[in-house]
Order: sequence, then structure tokens, then C-alpha cells
Amino acid sequence: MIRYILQRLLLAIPTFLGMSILIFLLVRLVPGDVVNAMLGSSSSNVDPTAEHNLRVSLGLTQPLPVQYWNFISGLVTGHLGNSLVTGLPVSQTLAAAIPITFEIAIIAALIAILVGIPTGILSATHPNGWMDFVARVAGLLGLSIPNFWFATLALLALSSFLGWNPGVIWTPFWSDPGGNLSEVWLPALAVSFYMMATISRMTRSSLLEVLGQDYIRTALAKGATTRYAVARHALRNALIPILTVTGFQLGYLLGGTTVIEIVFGLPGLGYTMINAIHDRDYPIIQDTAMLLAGVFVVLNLVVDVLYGVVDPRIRLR
Amino acid sequence: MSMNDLPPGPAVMADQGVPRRKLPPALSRLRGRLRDPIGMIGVVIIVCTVLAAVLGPVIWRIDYASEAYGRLTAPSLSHPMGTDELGRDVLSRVLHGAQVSLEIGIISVGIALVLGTAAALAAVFYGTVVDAVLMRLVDILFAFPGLILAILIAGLLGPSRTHTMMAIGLVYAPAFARVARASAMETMAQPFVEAVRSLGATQTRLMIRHVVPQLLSPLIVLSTIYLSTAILTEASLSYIGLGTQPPEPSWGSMLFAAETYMQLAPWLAIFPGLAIMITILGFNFIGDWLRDVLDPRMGVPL
Repeated sequence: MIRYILQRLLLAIPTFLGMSILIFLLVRLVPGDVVNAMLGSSSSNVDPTAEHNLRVSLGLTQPLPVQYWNFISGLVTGHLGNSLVTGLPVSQTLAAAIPITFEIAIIAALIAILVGIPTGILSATHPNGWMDFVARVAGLLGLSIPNFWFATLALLALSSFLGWNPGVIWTPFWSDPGGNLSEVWLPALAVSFYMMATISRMTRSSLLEVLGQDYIRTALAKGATTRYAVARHALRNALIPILTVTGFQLGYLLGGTTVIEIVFGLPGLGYTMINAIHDRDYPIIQDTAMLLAGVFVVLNLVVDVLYGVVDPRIRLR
Repeated sequence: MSMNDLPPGPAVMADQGVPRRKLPPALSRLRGRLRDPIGMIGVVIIVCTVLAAVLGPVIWRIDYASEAYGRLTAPSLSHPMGTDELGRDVLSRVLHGAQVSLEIGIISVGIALVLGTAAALAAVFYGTVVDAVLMRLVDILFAFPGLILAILIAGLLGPSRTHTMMAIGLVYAPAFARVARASAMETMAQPFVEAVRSLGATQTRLMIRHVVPQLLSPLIVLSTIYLSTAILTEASLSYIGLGTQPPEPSWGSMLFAAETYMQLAPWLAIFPGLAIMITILGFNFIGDWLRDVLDPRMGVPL
């Protein structure tokens, strides 16, 4: 088991390196840097030597390999440097943004799993019944509703019919759990639909396939109730595809969260990244992008390891 | 609980006298799926959307850019979807938006299709080094959550319609590369390839006449599935201001503009959003159906 985990970890290293190179080059090869962004349209009136000195002081004139080394060694050692715009440490910005994004993502994932798996099971155990039909159509709707559209409409409806508005300033969970949850539940719900639908559909198809297997018939022939056969034999065997989509979807959830953060004005990772893109604030773009993509890779890694836990056959390969 | 509550595995179906088991599984699946109403509903929705995009502006003859009407008026007979903050007719903008959104979807999927297939063919035909390099690149691009990479590329290139299409195309190309490569490898392993070669066919002829046609079926399914993803991605990008820019209406950019007037004029946000949802729903219906009919084994992580 430990060998299996180590093997997976080693395989992730080249992926991380490739991602960091890609992000680094993407940020630098595109025309316009932080100095252009700061000066805006007034850049023609600026003394070129002053402009050059500013670039030198921000480290933008260093050779690319040196800049890349600073970026990658910062990631490893945790010395992320300072924002080019505000001069504040990047680690401070990230520390403020991470809890927001992760809280939304975790709550959304919980909602998606807690609704998705039971509806999938109900669908699969009553195929072609009315519950299955409702779940199937609801699933396709869940895949099709743009989450930011749902969020804006829900906000509008809640404020005009109930007079409810979420707080404007972010309340950390530890200082006021109630206030925090009242801000987070709607963004989390909006982001969760896609994942909920995917999990539900995958649970249905995976469970249906397993329920057609001979060993389920054997279990039923031996007198097991349907409930027992599903809970004891079928679900465990149906779990691998469900795990895969859950892992994948958790990653995509971070993408959805990015847009939702803009809708609600929540200063999470996505919000921070998009602002930094406007400002061409290289360190912040690089580190937020690396963090979001890195979490995705790690999640896939965790799914890989969980495969081994759920299905011992995979470990041996 | 009695036997009647059983989930219908094939064995149970056979017990009830339904001759499912007599047919080969693929055929019976095809028969079931062709009757599936959901696929048909999907086709109807998409045909209507395309008709609305192509014929809509001809039938509903109000110019989408004209500011000649009252500002922020609620839906009425003369303006079924109301008017916006500049006094433009929302229906004509939603119809024109259908053109823009479909066009962006089709072009970006086209970019992904061409890039991905070209990379896959190069990987299969130009040796192990090219294969290894290209497929590592594909792995790395695949390791990003799609929307985040699209935001990064579109944001850095600067918001515009062309950049949005480039970003979406690039982000989804790896999916096409993987499927095309797997399919091409499968074809290359077949005995007829050897026969064709021994008859003196060149690499190019083998590629174009024999390998590419085998790729069509899986790539068509993948394109349908990714069309809806591309339209949704464009809407997301435009909504956060990184896609289609204001005077030009795409459904996403209309939602972006509607944000400011939400309280006063909710119809500005309702109709473009509905249009997105119905179109995506149509593509999802068709995608579901096509995937089961043509290629049940192809798992596409969306």
C-alpha cells in the first residue's frame, strides 16, 4: 500500500513541474506587464528611463530562468515574495483567500454528495419509475443551469420577496459561525448543482450495472432483502466510478467557485486571481493558479489512493 | 421485501417474458435508445435554437443595436422580453445572442477538434519521441480544471471574442487529442493497415484515407458533448467580463450587463439565462443519447 502511494506521488512531480512552467510562460509571453497595467493609457507621457527603473526594481528585467527559479523555489520554501502592486506579502493575500474558497467548495461538495448519492440509489433501485424519471430530468437540469445565473436569480428573489440580503463583508467562520454560514450557503448551493447531478447520474448507472451481476442474484436467491443486497454488496462494488467523478468534480468545483466568488463579491482565490490578472500582478497570478491547479492534481492523487483502499485488486497491479 | 421489488437485471427481465436477452446487448441498447424520448426532445430543442439564430432576426425585424425604444420597459406585446438600459429590444438581442453564442461554441470546439486531432495524428505517425512529448503536454493541460485555465488564458490575452474562442479551444483540445489518439492506435493495430502498407500506400494516404475516417464517430460524439461545455464556458467568461464585450450581445455578456439593473429589470437577466439553460439542456439530451447509441464505452469526464 505504501509503495503504491509513493509511486503515485512520484508520478505527480513531473505534472507539477509542467504546470508551473506552463503558468510561468503563459503569464510572461503575453504582451503587457504590471508596469503597463499601472500606467494604463497614460504610458506615452512617462519618462522611459523611469519606466525602465521601475521594471528593474520589480525584478521584471531578470532573465526568464532566474525569474522561474525564484517562482519555483518560492513555492517549495514558502517564501512567495511580495505583490507587485501593493507590495504586501503574497502569503498574506493567499492566507486570507484560501479559507473562503475552500469553505465554499467543501460545503458545496457535501451538499452534492449528500443529495447526489441517495437520489442515484433511489433511481437505480426503482428504474423507470417516477422517482427515476424525476431524478433523471433534475440531473440533466442540474448539468444545464449556469450556476452564476441561478445565483443572481436566487439573490434577487430572496431580497425582493423575503427582504433577505447576505452580508457584504466576509465574516470568518471562527468569529461568527452563524453569520458566516448565512453568507456561504447560497454560493455553495449554486456551485453544487453540477457536481450533484454528475454524482447522481454516475451512482445510478454504476449501481444499475452492478445490480445486473450474477452475485447480486445469488445474494437475493439466498434470501437477502433488496435493501441488504444493495447496501452490503452492490454499493461497495459500484463505488469506484462514483469516487472518480467525485474527485474530478471537486476539481471542477474550484473553477465554478471562481465565477461564483465574483457574483457574490467574496474575496476568495478565484476573485484574487482575476483581479491579479487585470493588474498583471505576476506573483499572485502564478501562485493562485498553481494553488488551484495543484489542489486538482492532489485530489486526483487522493482518488487514486482511495481506489486502492476500496478495491484491493488495484493495489496489486 | 419480495422478489417484485427487484431491480431489473437482465435475468429478471427474462423471467418476466421480455425477450431482452435474445438480442445482442449492443443491439438491444440501440433499440431502447432510439425510442428514448429524451434524445428526440434534445434534437427538437437544438433545431429550434439554430432556427432562432438563423431565421430569428429575419422574422423579428427589430435591429438588436437600435436604441429607439423606452428604457427598461417590462415585457409587453411590442417587446415580448422588455427593453434594456439603453432602450434596446431584448428579444432581438437574445436572438442575435443565439448566433454569437452558437458561433463561438462551434468555432472553439472546431479549434479543439483540429488541434487535438492533429496532435493525436502526429503522435501516432511521427514516432515515440513526438508521441511522448505531445502526450505529456496533453497530460499537463488536462491536469488543470478547464474553467480556471480558460480564465487564465482569456484574461491574460485580454477580453475579446477571438481570445475567448482561442482559450476555450486550447483548453478542450487535450480531450480530443486523447480520444483521437486512442482511436487511431486501435486502427493502426488492425491487420488491414499492414495490407494497405504492403500495397505501397504512403504514410499520408494511410493517415487520410484509412485512419481519419475511423476517428469520425467518437469525435462527433465528443464534439456534441463539448459544444454545450464550450457555450457554458463562454457564458461564464463573458459574465465575469473576460469574454464577448458589451455592444455585441452574447448570452453571457447580456447577463453581465444585466447585473447592474437586476432589481429594476429582472427580465434582463431571466431571458438570456433561460436561453443558455435550454440550449445546454438540448445538447446534454443529445449528448447522452448519442453517447449511449454510438459508443457506450467512452467515459468522458466533464
